Order: sequence, then C-alpha cells, then structure tokens
Amino acid sequence: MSEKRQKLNVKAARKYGVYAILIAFLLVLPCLPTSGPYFIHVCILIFTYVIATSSIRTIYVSGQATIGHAIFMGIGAYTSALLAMRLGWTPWITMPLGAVGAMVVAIVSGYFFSRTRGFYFSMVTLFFGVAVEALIRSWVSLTGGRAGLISVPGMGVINIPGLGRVDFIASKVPHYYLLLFLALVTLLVLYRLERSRTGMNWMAIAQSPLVASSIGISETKFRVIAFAAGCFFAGLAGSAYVHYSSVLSSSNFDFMSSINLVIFMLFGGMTHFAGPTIGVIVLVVIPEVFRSLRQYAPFIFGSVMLLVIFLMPQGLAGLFQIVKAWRSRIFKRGA
Amino acid sequence: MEIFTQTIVNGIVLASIYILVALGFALIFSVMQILNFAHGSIYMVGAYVCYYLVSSFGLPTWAALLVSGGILALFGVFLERFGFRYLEKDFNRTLMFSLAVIVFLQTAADITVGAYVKRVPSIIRGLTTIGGITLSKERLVTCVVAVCLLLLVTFLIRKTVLGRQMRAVAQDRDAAALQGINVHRIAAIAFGLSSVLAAVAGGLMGSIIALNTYMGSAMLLRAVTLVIIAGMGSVGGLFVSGLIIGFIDAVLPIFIGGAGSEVVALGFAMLILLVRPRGLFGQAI
Amino acid sequence: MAVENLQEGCIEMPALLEIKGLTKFFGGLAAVSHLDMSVDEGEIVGLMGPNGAGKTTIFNLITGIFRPSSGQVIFQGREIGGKKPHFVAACGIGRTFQFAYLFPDFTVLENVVASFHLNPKCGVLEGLFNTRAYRRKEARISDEAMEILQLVGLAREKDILGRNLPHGPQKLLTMARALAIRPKLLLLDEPIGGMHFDEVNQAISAIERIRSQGTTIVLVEHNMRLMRLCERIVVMDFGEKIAEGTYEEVKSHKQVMRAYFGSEYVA
Repeated sequence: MSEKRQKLNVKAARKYGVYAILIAFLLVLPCLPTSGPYFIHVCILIFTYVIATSSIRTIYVSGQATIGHAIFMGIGAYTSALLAMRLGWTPWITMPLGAVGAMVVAIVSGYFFSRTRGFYFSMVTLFFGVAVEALIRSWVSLTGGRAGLISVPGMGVINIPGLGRVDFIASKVPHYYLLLFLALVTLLVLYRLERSRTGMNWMAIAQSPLVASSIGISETKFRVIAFAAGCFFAGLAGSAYVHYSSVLSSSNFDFMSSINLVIFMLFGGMTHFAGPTIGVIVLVVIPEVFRSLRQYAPFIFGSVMLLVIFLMPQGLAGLFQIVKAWRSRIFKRGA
Repeated sequence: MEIFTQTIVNGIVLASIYILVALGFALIFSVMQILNFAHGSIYMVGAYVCYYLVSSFGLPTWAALLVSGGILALFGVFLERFGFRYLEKDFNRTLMFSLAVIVFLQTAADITVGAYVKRVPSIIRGLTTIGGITLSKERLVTCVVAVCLLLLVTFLIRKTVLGRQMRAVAQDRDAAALQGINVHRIAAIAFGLSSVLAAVAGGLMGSIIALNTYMGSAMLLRAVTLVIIAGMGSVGGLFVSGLIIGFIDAVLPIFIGGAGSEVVALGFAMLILLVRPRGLFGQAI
Repeated sequence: MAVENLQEGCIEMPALLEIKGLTKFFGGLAAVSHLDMSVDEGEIVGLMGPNGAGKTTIFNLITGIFRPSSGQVIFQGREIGGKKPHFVAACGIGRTFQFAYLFPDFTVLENVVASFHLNPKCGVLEGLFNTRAYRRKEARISDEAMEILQLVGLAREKDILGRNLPHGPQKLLTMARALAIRPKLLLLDEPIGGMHFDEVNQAISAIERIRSQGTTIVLVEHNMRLMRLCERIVVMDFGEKIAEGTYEEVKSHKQVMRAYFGSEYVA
C-alpha cells in the first residue's frame, strides 16, 4: 500500500473509531444508573429533533430556505395516528406510512413551490405550514380540532426472537432504542445522499440554477427530490414521536415550531452535516439544565443565541473551522 | 341588516389595523431589505405598554398611545443600532437575531403579564349614529386614528425630503450613500417609524379586542400576508390587500369559523405567490 | 444544407443546427428578427455584431433560456425552440456565458466534475448505496475532468475555489464546464473577453484543440484573432442578419462597416 493510502486509511479508521465509540456509548446509556426516565425522555426528544433538523438541512442544501418544515412532522404524525386509531392498524406499519404520507404531500407541494425562489419560496412554505395547521385545526371531525387527539396507540408489546419480550408500554427505554435507530438511519441516508452526485447537484442548484441548467441539471427535479427527502424524514420524526407521546395536537406544528427547527439548524451551523445535530443537543440541553429557572430559561436560550449570532457566524459547527485554524497556527509556529 | 353593517365596520377596523402593522413591516423590508420578524412582538409589547400606561399611570388613552409609540420607537432604533446594523447582508443571522428578540420579548411578557387577559380601556365610550348606522365610537375613532396615521406616513414617504431619501435607500443603498445620504440614519428612522406604527396598532387593537401575549405572531403573519398580496414596494397596494384580508377575517368566520377563514386568507396569499409572485401591485421581479 | 460533392452524388447532410425565421420580442422591441442561419457539423462559425445586436439573445434562444416569439430552432432534426435549458443541454448543446458564471463554492475540479451529470448517468439510489459501480463511475469522471482541465490549461488550479479565481481562468473554467457535457455543439459567448495577452493565447489553443476533436463551435467575439479561426461569419445588427460569409468577405462588406463605424464614414 502506498504511503498516502496508508495515511488515508488511518484517518478513516480514526473517524470510524470515534463514531463506533459514540454509538456504543449511546447504546449503553439507558443502562447507566444515572439515566432516570426523565433523562431518557430528553434523549428521545433529542433524537426526534435530530431527525427533523437534519432533514430540514437537506432541503436547505438544495438552496430552498423552507420555514414551514414542522407541518410535515404534523402530517406524518396525524397520518400515522389516524390510521392506527381509525383503522386499527399497528403502529409498526402506520409509522412508515406517516413518513410516506408526508413525502407524497411534499412531492406535490414541492413541485408547485419550485416555481418560486429565494424569499418567495420561503414565504410559500410559511403560508403552507400555517394554512395546513389551520386546516387541521378546523377539521374537527377528523383531527379533533384544537384539542387534538389523545390515546394514540403506542408501539405495544412485541416479541423479538433472541431478545425476548420488548415492552413499549411499561418503559421508555425501548422507545429510546427505536428512536436512536431511526436517527442513525436518517443521518446515514441523508449523509450518503449529500455526498453522492445527487448532493452535488443540489449544491450546484443552490449556487447557480442558471449554470446548473446549462449543464443539464433539472432544477425542478432535484429541488423536488430534496424537498421530498427532507419531508419524508420530518414525517418519520413526527410519526415516531406521536406513538411515544400518545397525544397529538396541531399546536406542536405551528409557525414557531418551524422557526425552532430553523434556529436549531442555524445555531449548530448549516455548512457542516453534523451542525444541526450539535445545535439540537445544545439547545435542548440548555433549557433542561436550567429547568429550575423554568421561567427564565428562554432568556438564557436567547442569550446563547445572541452569542452565536455575533461571535460565531457559522454556528457552533464553525468551531471545527476555528479549531482547525488555531491548530494550524500552532503547528506553523512549532515548525 | 344590523349584523351586516357591523360586519362591514369590523372589516374596515381590522383592515386599518392590519395595514398599520403591515406598513411598518414593509417599510423596514423595502428600505433595509431586512425581514424583521420581531415586528409582531413589538406590536404586542406596544399594546401592553399602552395598557400599563393607562391602568398603572392613569394616562388618558390617547396619550398612552403616543408615549407607547415613543418608547417602542426608541427600542426599534436600539435594535437597529446594536443588532441589525452588524448583520446586514446575512439573511440567516438577521433571521436568527429577530427570532432571539422575539424570544426575549415574548418571555418578558409572559413573565410580567402572565396568562391573564387584559384590555386597554377605550379611548372613548359610547355609540354614535352616522347616516343611520349605529357605530361604537370606539371603532370609529380607531379607524380615524389609523387612517390619519397612514395618511401621515404616506405623505412623509411621498412628499418630504426624508421620504425621498428613504426611497433612494430602498432602491439602491450604495448609490444613495454615494449621494451623501446617511444610510444609517435612514435605517434608524425606518426602524423607529415602523415600531411606532406597530405600537399604536397594538394599543388600538388592545382597546377593541383583548390583549394576550400571543397576538404578536398572529399579527406578524397577517402583516406578511398583506405584503405578499400587495407586492413588494407597493404602499398603495397595502391598502387594497388590507381591505381584502380585513374583510375575509371579519366576514368568513361567521360562515366557516376562524380556522377556516385563516385557511382561505393564507390560501389566497399562496396562490398569489405561485401565480403572480410580484403581488397584485408590486414591481416585476 | 451541406452538399458533399454534387458530382459524386453524395447524400445531402442536414445541418447540425438550423435556425429558421427566429424572432424574439421583448415588449415592443425585436431583439432578434427573422434570423435564418445554419451550422454544419464540424464547422466553426462566428457570430459578430455591435453590442446589443442580439448575439447573446440568440444563444439564449437556442439554449432555452428564452422562448422564441416565432420561428424554429432545429438541432439534429429535432425542434428545440422553447424547451427547457437542461433538456437542451441533454441534447448535446453546451454553452459558456458572457459573464463568467460558475459555481463559486466549488473548486475548479468540482466545477467540472459537477458538469458530468449527464454522462454517465448516475441514479439517486446508486449514489445512496455507494455501490462499486458508482464509485468506479465517479473515479472515471474524476479522470475525465482532469483531462478537460488539461485541455483548457487549468490543471494547476484544480483545487482553487471558483470565487477565488481571477477573471481569465474563470472564463477558461466556463469553457471546461461546457465541455464536460461532451457537447456536439458548443456555443462560446465572448470566451476571451477581459483576458490579457497570454491568457488569450491559451484560450485560442484550447479552442483549436476542441475543434480538432470534432466539436462544432459557434463563437461570439469581438476579437479579430478569434474571428479569423472561423470558417464562416454571420454578422448581426439590431437583431437582423446583415451579412454572412468568410472573414475576408465580411471584412469589406459595406453594411458591416456601416454598423461598426457609422454611416458617416462609409460611402
């Protein structure tokens, strides 16, 4: 093996090693004595948001600044919940169906929205999100209106050969593993998409639709693909969570929820794939840490935001760049 | 018949308040190319400040409106000076900043006011009859104040030197600076003016309908809807779109409920965006 | 129509690109007016005219950025007037832009690699699962991209971000990007505009190399060195074709001289 290949292999091994350790840590986390049910609940929340914010970032990568993303979580959640409650299907089937439902809506609406660009696109997504939320609220017979739905069926009790009985009702821990699994799958799929030619086409469209079309990249086609992929996972996040929390209300998917997703993403940094994940972890943990000051927690939240806005324009993930630059400066001095 | 006229009046009242808020939002957007999402929160805070000035300090309502406008104007200038000025040209960070402002204002309001619903005491009580139609003086005065304010601002933009400077900055910021216009001063004035409009609108709305800490985001949505339907850069268009939405909000809830009328209003705005993005009166993109 | 040799009785070859009666109105202004033009395979045709004559508009009409108000654009026997730009590119027409538009956040190499979207065809799922076939395709694309960069002379700059390139290399990059789609017809819009002397030489040798590979070229330029390369030149003024012929014929054409120098100077 050439020396360069050896070096690359070492780098890759180190990277995969870090990921393996992280995943192993996450796998044993619920077994630690410090992990009480509330802690598990926060982790589940984090996993759900990681899915949602990574998926909105995928849409942003293609140059589409959507600010109505939360509603697709809602579409996934309501689809899955209603199928389970009204038709009696098991949540194991309705959950992926919820994601598919969100994707179908995204394909149709994304196609029409792709006629607009920039600010106008953002406004269309904003209106769509609020309009659908209002629609859900007004269709009381179907969705329970403002009050929402309660007693959405949970994942039940299943028998996995080898693991024995897995009880989703009695404990939160199975939900933890389920959402961890879904989050990892989401991250893997979205990462692969972004690194592949599809992702390159997305970035091309984002930088210059004119140039991209002159080399044969169909702006509409790839914008819809990005939008559909992003909304699929948003729907997945929504439908997975609804069977955990067993209550559902459209107020969780309103304008401010969409804005929250955008904040998480921008805060963690949009340039890096891991940015949204970091943003979610930090911004979910902060209100929890300061839970005692429940009322004032948002102030700390806002202050952290201001800090990042003015000091770290690339979001927290920009720290990677800062650290890299800092390290190279140190090494230069040493040399 | 009575309900009919009252509904018309409601439509006009709502329209005038919507136009006030939308004008403030559009002002900042066209002059500074900034989407100030905190505008809704300023509206909400203006309403509450007005309330407290009247209830705790005993100011007459008209004075409270003025003082509230003044306070929020200063706040707007402050926001521009220490926040938006450093974030120009970066859409992401401007968005984040305005959202941070919302977080602060919203939380402050929630803490100080709590969940109790308040109402700003009316400027003037009683009913009058004009041309055979019975109106509450309240609503009449609201309309009059709103319309006066709107005319004042329109006059400012169209006929004064300051207005011309603002229009210059809106068209081409760098060219305006090269002509000797102090762009920062114009920015501050735009923010201040916008905040006055929002605060007064809040106080007026607070006297007709009760206050609650979430009125800001609902109003922001309305303002954006108005601006989209009217089109960028069109002030006159705002009057028309304000009337359209005002009437939708006044009339439709009777037939299809509040949520239903929201869907209609938003659906209409979406249609405009997809079919004619420059709005009904805006300039071609 | 190109006739190989009437006496030998060869088949008449249809032109690669045929433009018939092409007209484009913007409001009341005719940017292009009843243009008839054809380009045969392997030719290098020049398009000349004062600024505002409509040359870039013609390119935009061919590549689908504008819809013709009337008239036809026929490429390889197929009507492409009014079709979307990415469709036209897929048919085999590549173009550069007068302003050096490129992908600012991609490196030079990535700019060209991105342009290999059309061939080989990579599906979304292939990329998703990172199959071996996909990786092989991408490796081949990388190699071909480097070949193109060497052809235009940008091999050394391959890792520079598009936004950091000076103007001359930017224009070379737009040419490289257009070549990556393996076009049968290449539309070059002022390929050496703004370049200094050395860069012009580089560009001209690149164009000659492209030509020798058999690509048909239509060239818009003001620079006479480039115009001398053309077998045929079409001259436009105010949206109309005013002359067509070889360089020598066009150079002394009365109307052409009037268009450039003004009627006071030409008899």
